[in-house]
Amino acid sequence: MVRLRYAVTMVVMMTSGTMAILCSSPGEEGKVKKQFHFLSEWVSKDRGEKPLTTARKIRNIRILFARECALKAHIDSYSGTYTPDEIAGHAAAVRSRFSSVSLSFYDFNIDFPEEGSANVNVTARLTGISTTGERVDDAHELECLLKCAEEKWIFTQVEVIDVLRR
Amino acid sequence: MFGIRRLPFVRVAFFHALRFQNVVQKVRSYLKYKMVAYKKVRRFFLPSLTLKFLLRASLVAIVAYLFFGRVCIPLRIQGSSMEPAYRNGGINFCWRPRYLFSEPQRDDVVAVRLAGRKVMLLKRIVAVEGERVEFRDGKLFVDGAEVDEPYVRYAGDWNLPSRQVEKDHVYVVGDNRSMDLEHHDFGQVSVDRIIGGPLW
Repeated sequence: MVRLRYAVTMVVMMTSGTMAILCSSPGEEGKVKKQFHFLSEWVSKDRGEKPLTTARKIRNIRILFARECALKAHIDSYSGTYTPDEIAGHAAAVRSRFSSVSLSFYDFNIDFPEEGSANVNVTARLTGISTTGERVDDAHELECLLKCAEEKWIFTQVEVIDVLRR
Repeated sequence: MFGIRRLPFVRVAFFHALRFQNVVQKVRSYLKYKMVAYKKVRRFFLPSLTLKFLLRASLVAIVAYLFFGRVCIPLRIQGSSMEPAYRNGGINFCWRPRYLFSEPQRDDVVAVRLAGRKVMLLKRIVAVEGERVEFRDGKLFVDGAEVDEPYVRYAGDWNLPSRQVEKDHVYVVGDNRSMDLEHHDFGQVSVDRIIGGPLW
């Protein structure tokens, strides 16, 4: 009876240990989502954000993008290839127009067409209040291509899907 | 004489005793009723965790999850593009079976999905495939004829050249035309992206 109890306890402990390890180490999908989480965190801005925090966030945005990241949008003037510095500059310019801004991602559809490459279909929603007091709420569907470089997923292509075509 | 005098007293005493007993019974039955009610309420809020109860609770949870996650999705309206019919901050449900056996028609309010169902666009269909849409000084023209839009309370002065709605597409616009043309999301959308309509 005592042996049986020990055996059951051992099995339960081993199962819970395995589960804990599996849950604590996110798979590739989790790592990809994490990059979106970072992008969301670093683009978002609270009212009265300190300049040091702004500088740190802008500097951090650069590490999420490849040396050449392609942007495809229905507005031709935005389409093109950008360097991480240019992207960080654009992000800083956009942030400066808002007193508070929040970027959130919803409905992740992630697939891995080949090793080291991830296709992410996601909804991005930007909400905020501009410095002139205007409320902004914009949602777009994005098709992103991420590549894995040195065990880190970085954005290489972002396409804004034209859901409503005028 | 004495007997005759005593008799009413006994009768009165007996009558009072009976009445008291009656009251006691009533109080007892009332308390019993109260106890039963209390037990019922207690059983409802703090049920004993039997296997039957757990199975029933799991079944209710699964049905609710499927119903509110797949069939009748709760919505919180954010934005003023559909005012006054659907106000900013309003609550509604997206009824998905609406277009199970029918095609979206003109004037229908529909939910358009983006990458998934967590963020959707709520718009009104103003033209279906093959029709030509145009805005002249805020007035909607479909195939060259002006369309009466009783749902538009906040008119604008939009101007948009004529364009044809492609196959398997519908043209959707918000009701609030007082917004700037540039700030309003509208246009033709694939029918596949329409996942239902608001419940009311």
